[in-house]
Amino acid sequence: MDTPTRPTGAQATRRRWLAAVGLAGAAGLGALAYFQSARPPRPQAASGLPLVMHDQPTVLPQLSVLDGAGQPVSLASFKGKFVLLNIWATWCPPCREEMPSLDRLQAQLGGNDFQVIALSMDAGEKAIGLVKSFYASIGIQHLAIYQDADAAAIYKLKAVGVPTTLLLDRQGREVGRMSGTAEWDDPKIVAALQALIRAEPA
Amino acid sequence: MATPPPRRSRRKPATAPSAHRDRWRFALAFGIFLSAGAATVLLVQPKLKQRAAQFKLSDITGVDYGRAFQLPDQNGVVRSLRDFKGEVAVVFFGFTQCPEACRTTMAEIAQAKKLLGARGAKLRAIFITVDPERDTSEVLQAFLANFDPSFVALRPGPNQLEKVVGEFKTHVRKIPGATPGSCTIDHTAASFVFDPQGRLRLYARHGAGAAALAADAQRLLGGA
Repeated sequence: MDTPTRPTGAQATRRRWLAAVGLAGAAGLGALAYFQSARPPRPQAASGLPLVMHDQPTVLPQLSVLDGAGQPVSLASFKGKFVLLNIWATWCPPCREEMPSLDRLQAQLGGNDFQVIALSMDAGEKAIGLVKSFYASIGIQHLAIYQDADAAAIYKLKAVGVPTTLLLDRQGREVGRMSGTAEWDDPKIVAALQALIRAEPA
Repeated sequence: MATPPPRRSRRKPATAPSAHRDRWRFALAFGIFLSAGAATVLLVQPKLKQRAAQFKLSDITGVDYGRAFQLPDQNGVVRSLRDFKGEVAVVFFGFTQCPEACRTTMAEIAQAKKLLGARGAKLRAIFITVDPERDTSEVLQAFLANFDPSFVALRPGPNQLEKVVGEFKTHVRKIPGATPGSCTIDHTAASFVFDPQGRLRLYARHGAGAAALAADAQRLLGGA
């Protein structure tokens, strides 16, 4: 057992140094914990739109989908207009429910400034047929058929549930999104979209 | 026996204990403790990363959840893990009559199967409904028809649901909806991946991606 000692000058220096290392270590660990737990600020909902709007537009990864004729179309090819990208599937009951309101929204606002893209996640050989017969059965007239045959939207666009609806700006960046359904031709939504389009002319 | 030499010869014998000395001792011990902690973190972290690099999904080898289930499938045939020997089975919980949004797990597994090409024949999705009342045999058959004919939907009978949920240490909570008959069911959104020997190996968070599942299934089928 060591006999109790009183620190000499050299010992005191060494201990001070060790304490400094300890405190620096503590500060480092604290900083690490802080940065690990830091979360981006909560986005706020824009008035009139059911989507959760982001503080900053998000650049999306390249995504190639198929059109109704089975031809590849890049998501980037819609740049220049605002896009309401609705990711859905025929096997998803809530998706089927909101489809007529998306059709009416496209009828009202579709054009050079805005387009609704209904992107079906149905896969397999019968998928296009399933979408076509569903469109016919509920009388869809204004929506084109797009298919995400590789279910790439789940991972690339983080659409872990359907429907997921993204609002893209004229540069093809995501400015807002929501999971779940909405009555898309509600006058409040139409007015909010019109205001967005006017605020950022082509 | 000789007296052991003093450990620190530089030290002078103390006159009396002091609060000052105790403070410095404490600081010293604290410093050593923190340095040791930091060193442990630095040494362990690369090893964890190395281990994670082997599988893209979370490796939970050794966890023995849900190995004993015996449940009727969409055709009423009782199935257990033994029926899927030699295959990679992906077990997950869900329900088809989703009120607000539907999870895309089944589409993700179907895509992983496609990515595996010929080997995809040995990747099987096993969906366990947490809503056996509304997910009848007919509803489940129709749901599966959207994905892959080899996929299986299990429909727990009365008293079986609680048991299987417990076996997977997961949870299910019914939340009444706006209208009678519409309700949502809160449940774990992850998938459990069993290897060809029927051992639970991986845990896939929802949305981990078809490519990750395909790569890991390939490894498991290769004997990993």
